[in-house]
Amino acid sequence: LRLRELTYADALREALREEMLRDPNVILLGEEIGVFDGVYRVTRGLLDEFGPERVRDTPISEAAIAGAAVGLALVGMKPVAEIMYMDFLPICMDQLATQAAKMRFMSGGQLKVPMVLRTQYSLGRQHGAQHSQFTPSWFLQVPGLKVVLPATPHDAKGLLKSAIHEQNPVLFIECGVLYRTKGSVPEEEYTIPLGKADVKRKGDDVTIVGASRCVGESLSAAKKLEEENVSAEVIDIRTLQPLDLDTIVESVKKTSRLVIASDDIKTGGIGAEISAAVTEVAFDYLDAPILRIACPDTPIPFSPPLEQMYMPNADKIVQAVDSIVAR
Amino acid sequence: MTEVVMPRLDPGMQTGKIVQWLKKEGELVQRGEPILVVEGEKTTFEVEAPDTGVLTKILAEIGADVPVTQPVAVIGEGGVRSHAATTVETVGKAKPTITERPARSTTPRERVVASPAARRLALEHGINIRVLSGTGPGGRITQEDVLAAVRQVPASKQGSSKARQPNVLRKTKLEGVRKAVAERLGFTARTAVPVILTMEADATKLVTLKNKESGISFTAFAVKAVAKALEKHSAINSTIEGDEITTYSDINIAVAINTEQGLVAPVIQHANRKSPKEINADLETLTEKAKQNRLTVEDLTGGTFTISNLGAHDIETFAPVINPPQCAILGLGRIAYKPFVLGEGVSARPATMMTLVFDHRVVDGVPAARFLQEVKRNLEDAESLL
Repeated sequence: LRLRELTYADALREALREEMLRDPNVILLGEEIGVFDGVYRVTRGLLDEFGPERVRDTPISEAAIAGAAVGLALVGMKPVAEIMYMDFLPICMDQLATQAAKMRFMSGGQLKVPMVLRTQYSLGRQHGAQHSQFTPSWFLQVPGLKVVLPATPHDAKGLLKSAIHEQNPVLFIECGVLYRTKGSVPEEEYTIPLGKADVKRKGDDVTIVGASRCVGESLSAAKKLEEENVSAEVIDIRTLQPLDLDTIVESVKKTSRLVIASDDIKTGGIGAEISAAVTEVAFDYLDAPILRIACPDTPIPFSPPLEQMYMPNADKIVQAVDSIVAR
Repeated sequence: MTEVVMPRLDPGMQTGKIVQWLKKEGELVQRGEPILVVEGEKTTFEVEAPDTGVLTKILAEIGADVPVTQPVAVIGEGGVRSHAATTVETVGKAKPTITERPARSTTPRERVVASPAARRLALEHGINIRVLSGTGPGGRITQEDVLAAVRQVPASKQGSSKARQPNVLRKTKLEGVRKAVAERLGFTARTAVPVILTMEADATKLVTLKNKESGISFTAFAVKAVAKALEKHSAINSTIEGDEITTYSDINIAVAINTEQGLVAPVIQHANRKSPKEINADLETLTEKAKQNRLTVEDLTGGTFTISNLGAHDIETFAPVINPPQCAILGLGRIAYKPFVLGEGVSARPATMMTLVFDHRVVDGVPAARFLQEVKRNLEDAESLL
C-alpha cells in the first residue's frame, strides 16, 4: 500500500470526489457546500469540478434538505446531503425517522432510499449548548437507519465510500474537532464495511470501547495505562448501527473488564446500549462492573474551561480503568 | 437457583414427555448444554440448561408427562445441594401433572461480593466461593482470587497486573498427557482427604532373591507384594465416585511410568494371580508401549490400586497423589543399606521406605496401617511371593 498523510476532512473529500467520478448519480446538497467550499472544507473544489447540477447549495432549511434527499434517493439518485450541525437533525427527524427509515419496509421492498446524510458534532469547539451535541443514540430507536461514526482519516474515507454504496439510508456523523487531524490513508481504492468494529490496539487487562473522538482519547489512555503495566485493548465501534457486538464480546471474554467512552450524554447513550448488550451475552466473563465515560446530564457549557471539564478525556478513562483493575 | 421448565415446542403443545435425562443430579451443567430429551406431540428434542450450575434436583422422572412451563429440574449454585429443592415432590408416572414450585429458603445466606467471572471460574474449578477473600475494589472476589485459590497459593501473593513478571523462557499449552495428569491429580487434590503413612521394610531377602531371579525388577516384586496384601485387605481395593464406594474382587495394579509425554499408569490386570515373573513381563511390555505412545484404553483402565516407584532416582520417601477414583497409592523409595538396630548392636541392611497415601473418606487409619504391615511382611518374606 502506498500511504500518505491526509486530514480527516481531506480524506472525506477524496471519498466524495471518487464516488462522484465513479457514479454520475452521486450528487451533493447542503448549506454552504458549494460557493463557500463547505464550512469544514470537506466539499472544497467540488463545485468547480462537478458543476452546480451536482453540487447544490441549499436554503437554510434542514427539513427541505433531508426531504429532497429522500425524494432524490427514491427516484434513483445517490444524494449525499450535509447538515451543518448534528444539533439540527431534529428538524430533519420526520424525513429521517418516519420516511427514509420506513419506506423500504412498508413498501415490501419496492422502494429504497439509498441516501447519505452527512453531519458533524462540535463538542470541544466552544460552540455552545445548541451547536455541540452528540446524540447518535437517538437513532438507535430508528431501525432502518445505519449510523456511522468515523474516528480516523483512514476510516472516514473507507466508511463514507461504503455509506454511498449502501442501499439503505445512512446517517454519517463526523467529528468537528477531528477535521484537521491527520492520519495515513492509502492511495489505492479501499472501502470499510459498515458493521465491523476495529481493534485499534491489542491488550489483555481491560477493553476500552470508544466512539468517534473518544477512540483517540482511549488510545491515549491506553498509552498512559501501559506505564502502569495495565494492558488495554482499544476497540473503535466505527458504526453504531449495526453494532459489531461480536468483536466487543470476544475482547471482553479475554479481558473481563469493559469501559466505554463516548461524547454523548451518559444516560441512555452509546455506553448504556453496549453495556446492556455485553451483559446479556457475556455476564459470566465480567470481573468488574462495566463503566461508562461520557458527558454529564446537563446542556453543554459554553465556557471553554467548563466545556473541557465536561468532556470525556484520556485521564477520565484512565481513572475509570484504575478503579476496576486496582487491587 | 434457576428452574428448568418444560418448553412449548409448538403453539398447540400442552404437555411434554420426559424421554431421557442426559445429566444426573449433582452434575455440573453449562448454560446451553443439552440436559434432557423431551417428546412433544410432533417431535422429540433436547432441552438446554438455561443457566450454568449444578443440577441440584430432577423433578420429573423419565416417562412423566409434564405441562408446558412447569419446572422439571432445578439448577443451583456451586456444589451445595439446595435445601429448598430437596423438599420438592418428585413427579413420577403415577402423578403426571403435579409440581410444586420450590419454596424459597427462609434464612437468606450472606451475600458474597464476587464478580460474575469469579463465580463462573469457581464453579468450573469446584471451589467454594464463600471461603475466598476478595482483593478487588471493595473486597470483591475477582477471577484472579479464584485462580489463586486454584493454584493453592495465598491470594495476597497473586500477581496483579502491576506485579513484576519474570522473563519467560517458554510457555507450554497444557494438553495431551500433561493435561490428563493435571486434571486427574488436580481433581484428587481438591476432593480426597489424604493421609500419609510411612513404614520401613527390610529388603535383605528381596535383594538376595532379585540377584537369584535376575531380570525381575523390584517393582514387579512390589506389585506382587501389594496384590497379595490387597487379597486380605479388600477395603483398600476400592474406588470412590461421588458418594459411592466400590470395592473390587479383581486386583488390578496400576504402575506409574514416566514417558517423554508425561506420566502414565498402565494396569497389571489380576496381579494377585500372576507370578513376579509374569508381572515383570507385563511391565516390560507396558513400559515399551508407553514409550512408543501406543498404550490402549484397555491398558490404562480398570486399575484398583497404584504403585509409584521412584527408587531408581535416589528418592528416599515421597507422598504420591492418589490416582482417582482409587482410594490409595503406594510410593516406594530406593533400596539402600541402612543402619539396622537390633538390641544394642547396629548393622547395615538393605531397606526401603514405603509410603501409603490413602483417602480417609474411604478407609480409616488402622486398617490402612494393617494393610501396609501386610505389604511389609510380604516384601520381607520375599520367597513367599514366588
